[in-house]
Amino acid sequence: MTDLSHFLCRTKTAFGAHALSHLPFDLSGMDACKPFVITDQPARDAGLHNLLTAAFKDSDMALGITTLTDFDDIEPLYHLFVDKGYDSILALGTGPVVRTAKRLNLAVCMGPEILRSDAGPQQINRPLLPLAFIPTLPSDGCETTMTLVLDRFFVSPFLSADLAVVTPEAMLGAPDNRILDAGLTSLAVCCQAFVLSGSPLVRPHAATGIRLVMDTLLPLIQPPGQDELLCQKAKKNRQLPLAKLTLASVLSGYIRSHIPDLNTYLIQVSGMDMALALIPMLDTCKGASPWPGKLLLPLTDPDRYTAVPGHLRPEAAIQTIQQLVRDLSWTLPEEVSHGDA
Amino acid sequence: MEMPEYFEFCGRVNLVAGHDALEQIPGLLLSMGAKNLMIITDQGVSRAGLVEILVQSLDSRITVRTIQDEVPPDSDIDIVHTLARRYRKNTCDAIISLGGGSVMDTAKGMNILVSEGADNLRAFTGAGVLKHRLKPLIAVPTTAGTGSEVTQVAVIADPDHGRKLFFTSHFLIPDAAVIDPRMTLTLPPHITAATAMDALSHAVEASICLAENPLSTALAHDAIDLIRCHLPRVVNHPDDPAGRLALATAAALAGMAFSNSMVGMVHTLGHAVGSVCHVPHGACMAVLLPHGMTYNYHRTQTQLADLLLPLAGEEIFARTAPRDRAQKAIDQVRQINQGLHLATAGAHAVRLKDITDKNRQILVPLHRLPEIAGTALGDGSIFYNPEDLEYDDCLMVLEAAFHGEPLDRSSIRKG
Amino acid sequence: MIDFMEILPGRQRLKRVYLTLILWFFGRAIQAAARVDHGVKSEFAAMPGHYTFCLGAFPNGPFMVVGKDAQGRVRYLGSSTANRTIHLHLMFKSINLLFVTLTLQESTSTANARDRLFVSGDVPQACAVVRVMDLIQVLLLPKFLAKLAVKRYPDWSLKRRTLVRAMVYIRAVAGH
Repeated sequence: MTDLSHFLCRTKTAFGAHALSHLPFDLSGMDACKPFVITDQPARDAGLHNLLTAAFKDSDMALGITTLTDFDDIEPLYHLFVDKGYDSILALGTGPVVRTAKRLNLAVCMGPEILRSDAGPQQINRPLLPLAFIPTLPSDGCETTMTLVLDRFFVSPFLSADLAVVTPEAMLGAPDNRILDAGLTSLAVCCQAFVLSGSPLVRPHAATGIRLVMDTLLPLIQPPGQDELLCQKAKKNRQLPLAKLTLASVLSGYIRSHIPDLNTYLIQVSGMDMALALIPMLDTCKGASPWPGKLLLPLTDPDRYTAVPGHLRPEAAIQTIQQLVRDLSWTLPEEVSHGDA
Repeated sequence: MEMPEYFEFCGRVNLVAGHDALEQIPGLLLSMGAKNLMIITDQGVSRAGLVEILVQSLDSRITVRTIQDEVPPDSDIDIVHTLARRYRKNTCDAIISLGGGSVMDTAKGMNILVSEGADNLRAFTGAGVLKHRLKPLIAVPTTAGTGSEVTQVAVIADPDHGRKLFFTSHFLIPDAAVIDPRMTLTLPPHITAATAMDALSHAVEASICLAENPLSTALAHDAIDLIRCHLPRVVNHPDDPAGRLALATAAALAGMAFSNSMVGMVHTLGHAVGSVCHVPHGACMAVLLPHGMTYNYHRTQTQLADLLLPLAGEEIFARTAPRDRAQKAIDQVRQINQGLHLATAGAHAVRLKDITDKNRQILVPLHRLPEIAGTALGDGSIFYNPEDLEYDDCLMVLEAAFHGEPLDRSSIRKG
Repeated sequence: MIDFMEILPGRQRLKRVYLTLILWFFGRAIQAAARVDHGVKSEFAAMPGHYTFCLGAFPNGPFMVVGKDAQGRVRYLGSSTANRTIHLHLMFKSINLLFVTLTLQESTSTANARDRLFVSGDVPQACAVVRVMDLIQVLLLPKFLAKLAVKRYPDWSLKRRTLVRAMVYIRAVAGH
């Protein structure tokens, strides 16, 4: 155990079937009754906003739903939100949607001038309006961090969403390169947090994220069956593993800010590059602490972990990651496996 | 990886753990815009000199307006109302709760009143009643067991109406839990053992009961691992600060795990034994834990088998055939209890009939088991237990725990 | 120009009709079972007099209100919570979640473990009410369905499985 550690995650995570049906109660528990939904075109085209509408039936809550086309101009959203008296935000989508939701929340609670690039430094030390994030795809986890990067950098626990609701029914289909990128990014973040963070709370979050990626990524990337008739069923069958991978992304966002030397190891172009950067990082750390060896446990299972002698575990962990990368490279078309897609 | 069809997880607390963690408190308070402090504690903590250590760790930016050390062993509504009046009178703007479960619950209850501007705590029972953030509350645990410093519940007695009031809300989770080994260094070995077994029971039940989820289970396994690695040494060397920090951290991890996935029959029966016979909670948990695991064996074999690795370590796990791992996990808990029994010269009980008071009087007589079984049926944790539990089942388990005999698995009614 | 629409989601009429009917019959079955089944009778005997509880969906129902009067008589009090002192609320967090349980997709204990419902009131009484609900489901449903609703299907006497069950059905239909 390290000398001093901090960990704070303000976001409540909800995962699974009928998760959206809990939303009206959860919002009412935060004194909100008029949610403003921000979504993007793919989610709107797939009719995901109808899932929300169905979940809010009988709740007496009116929904204002806006589909973003311009992610830069927040002013019309701000006026709409304030003029119509909304009191909470539901972000249905991925990174750009959540970034817009956080900006809107800041503007409404702290005044729109806080977003101006020439505004002075401001501390965000009180809660903003209730914000729920409903992801529609796995991602790099930036949605669930406590930061907002604009011209300026905002960081506060109160910028985190109050709720992250991951549900299979809200999962959109995604191209393989997108899934691969998200999965490997989550894996890299979680592995590095597991090895480098001194916080006893970070490690269980990281271990869960790693297990979720190891369970779902390869089966999701493997080519589907040829039978066209099975396509609809195959799409349905992918929704649960996609949701699990999305949960891994969500968890990786919670722990991102607890990784020392983040910039040294993490900032890479693609998930594949991040996974490849992970290997020398683990190689460097393997003598310094027991954690590179213990990483083998979430990467595999208790039987394989205990079957490998302690001193060989860091190497076995590295090999497991290398094997995953190789398997993914075999499965994917060449241009995707090299991170060009 | 097995996933429940639906789960929720909320651990909205800033967990600050370390050898000088107390020194972080001024910064935490200032970041929440607070500097006028009320410290809530009890006489035992006060006499142990822990309040002085806490106050010395604060700096000139923080003013301690009042120190209240009258919290009784079982928190009640009168002390909550009294403390709320004193908080207002002293114009405080933040609270530090320094103590065990009762102090934490009292502080949470008082925080409801002072934050909501109310005078009657009874109006805030039930779920969904609290809708706003409360005043800044920092929890500093002085026992490594209850986990109350990270949970979203408070239980406060209402003696006038002869009932217990339950409060549940994410807003009850303290803003920060500060885990500093200086706060547990003076705990005697038998209390260290009992409180650690309390934490172990939280972790085990969080992993096997109906609301288990992957995050709670991961936290619980880490907590168990810390307890296995450090408890034997700390019981023999109570002044080991690294071990103390590990055990207090384990209690917080286990607390967060069970706050999200709840507990089952070990607590159902343990609460009832405590309520009827006024037995320390940790002592009941230690005795009942292996029996609860055995009772649920047929429904939780996979989860129990997974527990063997953190409970027993790599060598024993690898040596044990997969089909034997669940039973071995139960045996391991018995073995931990037995080891603590020897290390504390018998002060750590392994049977209900061995639990005694200071005068060596038996606290749980055999003839009170039926009353305990009846009381257990009114404990909410019963619904999170994997196997159904009726009066006869409770009595059967209590009798086995009383005599220290393992439950016969064939006599357990299976659903 | 932004793409914006305002929606008032409305009601789920079919689900509401189904749930109202089920809760109506369930309430009458509780009233009937409290007279003829010793298990249900003894659960109510332990409750205080003048005690009323409600099962339903947040925030607008449907609801089922059942009360025990000072003489110990258990009555189904209808589907309205208006102008009543309710001592115990067992509320599902939405009508959808109540529907999931009352169509036996999830048992009450599973729904509870999955945070689908919340309780306001004294916990010992809430435990008793959940046990009553389990008993009623065993009394009303054939075994293969009741097994989906309860953790452990009870091993009852022939009389309880046949005669008592028939009496509960007859009294529930007749409203006695």
